[in-house]
Amino acid sequence: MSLHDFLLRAKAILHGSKVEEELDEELQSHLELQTRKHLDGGLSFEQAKRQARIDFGVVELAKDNCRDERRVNVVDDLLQDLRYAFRGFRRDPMLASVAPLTLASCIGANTTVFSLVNTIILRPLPYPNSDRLYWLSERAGEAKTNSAPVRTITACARRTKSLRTWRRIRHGRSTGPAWRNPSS
Amino acid sequence: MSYFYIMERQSRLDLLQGTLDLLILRTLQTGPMHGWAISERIQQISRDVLQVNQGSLYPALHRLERQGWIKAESGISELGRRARFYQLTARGRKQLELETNDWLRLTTAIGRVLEEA
Repeated sequence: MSLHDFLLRAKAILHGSKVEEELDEELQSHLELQTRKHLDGGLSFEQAKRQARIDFGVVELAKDNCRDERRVNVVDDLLQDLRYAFRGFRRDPMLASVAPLTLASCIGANTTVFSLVNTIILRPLPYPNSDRLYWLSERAGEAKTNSAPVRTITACARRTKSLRTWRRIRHGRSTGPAWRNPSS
Repeated sequence: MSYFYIMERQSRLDLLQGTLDLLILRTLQTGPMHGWAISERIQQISRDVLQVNQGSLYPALHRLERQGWIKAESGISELGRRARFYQLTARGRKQLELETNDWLRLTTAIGRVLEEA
């Protein structure tokens, strides 16, 4: 919408009655000129007036088309549609309340799930250098569990601060605890 | 919607909406005019072949005004009533030139098909 367009519309909305008056006068002026043309052509005043109206067609329709062209009707039509919608809501409040309730519960569920996923999976862990954090686990023989008992881990942690020495303490050189970076 | 009547056959001619717009722009090239004068002039110049459907004349004028191709000023008609006088804007002149070229190309092409196909 250009500035020019905007100004025309604003004028039509703010000075609605003035614009309507202008439109009315414009068409009246046309009808008068057309009447005079028919008078000059030899018709009686009544006949000339009638013929001018016939030539023009339905004046109200033309006016409405003019308003459409100026896009004045957009605002009117919108208000009319809103009123119609509200009447519909009043007639059937059950239906009217089901729609927003459905929306509300869906949005609520969505928000809940997202905030969980966001904290657990998407956001980085709330520790400094979280990309250097490792997840340690040990496997003992054929045991199904792949995490070391807490006691073992705390005992090892007391004796060493590096993964390499821990591996030596627990398994010798060849086999070692698996470690993986949870963020990789 | 019909935009013109063809006088001899008393039948409506459905020309493209753009045709009426083009004729209005061309008519206004001679100077500012109110709606009735525009429709009279189109009828005269076309030797009464084309009569503008007056019901669609004013919507067309308002449409052209909204597009910024013509602008309206308040004036007094020959019969002493307030009327809107339309005149071409600079953009309207450019548009007229474009549409005239399009129209000539279109009619030449149609003419060719009618003669040679």
